Amino acid sequence: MTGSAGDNTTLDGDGEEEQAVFDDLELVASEGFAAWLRAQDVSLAFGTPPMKLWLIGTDDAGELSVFDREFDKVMGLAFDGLNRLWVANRYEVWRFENVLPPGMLTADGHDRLFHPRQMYPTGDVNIHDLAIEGDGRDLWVNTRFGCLASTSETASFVPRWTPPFLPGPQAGDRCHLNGLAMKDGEAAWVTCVSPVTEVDRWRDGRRDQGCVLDVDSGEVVVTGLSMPHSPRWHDGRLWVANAGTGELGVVDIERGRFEPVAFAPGFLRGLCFVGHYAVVGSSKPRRGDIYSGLPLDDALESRGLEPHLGLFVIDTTSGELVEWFLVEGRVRELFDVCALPGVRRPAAVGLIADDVRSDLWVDLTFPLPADAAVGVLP
Amino acid sequence: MTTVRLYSHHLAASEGVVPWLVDQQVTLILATGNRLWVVGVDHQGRLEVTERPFEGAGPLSWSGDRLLVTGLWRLWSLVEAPAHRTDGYERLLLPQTAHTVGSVGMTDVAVTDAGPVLVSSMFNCLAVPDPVRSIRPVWTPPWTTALVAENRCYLTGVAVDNGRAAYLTSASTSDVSEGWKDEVLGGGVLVATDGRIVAGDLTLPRNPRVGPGGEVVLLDSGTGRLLRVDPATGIVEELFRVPLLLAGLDLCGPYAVLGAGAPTDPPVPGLPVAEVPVADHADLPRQGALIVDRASGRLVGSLAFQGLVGPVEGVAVIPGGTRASLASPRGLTAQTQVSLDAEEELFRPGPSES
Repeated sequence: MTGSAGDNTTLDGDGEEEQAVFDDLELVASEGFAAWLRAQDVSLAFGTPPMKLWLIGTDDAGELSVFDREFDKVMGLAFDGLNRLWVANRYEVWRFENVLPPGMLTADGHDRLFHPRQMYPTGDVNIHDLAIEGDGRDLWVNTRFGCLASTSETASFVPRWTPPFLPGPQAGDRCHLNGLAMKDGEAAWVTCVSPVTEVDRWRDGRRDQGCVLDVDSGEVVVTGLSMPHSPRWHDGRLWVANAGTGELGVVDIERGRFEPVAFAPGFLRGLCFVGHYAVVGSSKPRRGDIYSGLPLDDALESRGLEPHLGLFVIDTTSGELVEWFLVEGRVRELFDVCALPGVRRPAAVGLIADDVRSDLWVDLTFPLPADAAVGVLP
Repeated sequence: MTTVRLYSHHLAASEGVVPWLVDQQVTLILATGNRLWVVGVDHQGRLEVTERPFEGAGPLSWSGDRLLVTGLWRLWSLVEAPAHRTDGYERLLLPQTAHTVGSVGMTDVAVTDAGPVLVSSMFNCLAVPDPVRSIRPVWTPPWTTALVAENRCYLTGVAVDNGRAAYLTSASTSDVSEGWKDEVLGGGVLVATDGRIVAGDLTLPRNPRVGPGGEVVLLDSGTGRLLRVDPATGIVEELFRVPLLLAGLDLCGPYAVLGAGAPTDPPVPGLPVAEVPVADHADLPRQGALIVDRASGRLVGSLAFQGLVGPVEGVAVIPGGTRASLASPRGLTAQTQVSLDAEEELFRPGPSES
């Protein structure tokens, strides 16, 4: 039940919880987690800084299949629903492409093989949520510059939107803009920790100055939140993780109110939906760090709970925490989680092993069609 | 002779180098396997050399606003940063995107009006980076009967003319796996993308470039020659000869800058340059670059690496000043010098009325 980096290790469940060890990180899944993934026909992608990108699926026997790759501080992720996976990390945005034709499996039985096809250096801009617009373009939260931005072929990024209270995109994290909700393929809402204009001043508002902003109008939809993250529009409702209280809930847009749906033990950040289930990420506060000194501390203490790093599956109809997948060891942050619907057992090519150089995918149809664009005529 | 001491190597420049860089107002970029070298002149008129780690740095191409760098498994694009983001450098090229093409044997790269093209020796083709796959082949030579992952003819270079891929060099016209090795002596050709063989009898030709008059300038690496070919008549003229293997070529006005490799270690035995006793040319760089006046064939200047550097595999001349610099993808500058693309209109919602 152990595996090494990049192995597609299957966890066989013979105990109440399933466990495996990757690079001194212990993975602990709830008993029904694999069956839940199977039943929902889904797999999950997420990162745990400093170095891991995880792809969690199931094998033919229905057991968990865990695939890990090394990427520097994985932040936001987005999947186009078929073949394209975007991953933001510390200084870069990566576009992964599945190279397997529909129905084809790798020799190891993976139904997607994501190749790291293109990389855009962004510099140190602290990317949080990343989304895909209706036309396929990437759009992400540039937290350091306080704006929404896209990748550029000629610069670090293209600024696309900035909140009305900021002077414009410039270096210096003022309000800690962090979350992005899309609706009908367009940016619709963002979250920030405190709508202030002085660099770093957002830290003073961590307990209760957090808000959700409407992208079109720039207006505050709801305020009084504690380090809100990961707004998502799902099934007609605006969900948000109120990280500083450990609550996942919905925003009553009309009344400007946050309505908690569930509590989970951790700093809740990172959110995706699978049917009527929410998969929410959880980070571990540590005394004196940015995630501590929040209402969450008391909420944990009063319940006698310790915070956990990992994923919680919450039934949105009941608010019940039904499954979990935890990563234990020297990790304490998780920024986002992304559902891969219809994908059973994904794999990705990493940057360290030879396959990024040697696993070549070239259309060998011959003769070639003429390409007048580059001057190659029949 | 000016010698600049670097961390682990020396780069010695002949007397002609600094005046030439100043006259032309250019900076040279040399690629040597795992490093890019930036050779310029500082404000005091001294040779200025910086080295940047760059995994697998090989063939280079400057296209007016960006530098294409072939890495070990990626094709990089370095773009000039806006003036306010240059970290004290006069001009700074920052890595802005990298396409994972894999190890397809990139022997040359160029920019057409439709974007970058690369030569894949492994697939015997001209190709473009593909959005999903590794590469998309766009052209194969007329002697090729199959598209396979076998280095058959050893394609070695591409020239762009008027924004379009126009000429390629090939070490042979072989159509069998690794067949070029049997035909390398005199078997090389310059071929146009319309399939016409423009010139033959070449020995490991490389890096064709189209000059201002439409002439093709290229290296005949195996004989250590710089050649000019009239594409209309196919007449080949020798401009310069040196007992060194050559790789990497860029043109600068009436000059050419050639990358030089080690004559004692050719990739295949029996190349003419290997037969020349090294002692006869002790003044020539074993590894470095040569600046040649194409009209007279005169060697204007030379740059020589002293120490274990590896042969030069790529050369680019960056116009517009002697103090251009570039950032390594993993370096602090690339991480901190953030540039904004302001081409697109920023959407800013108005102030709240409530």
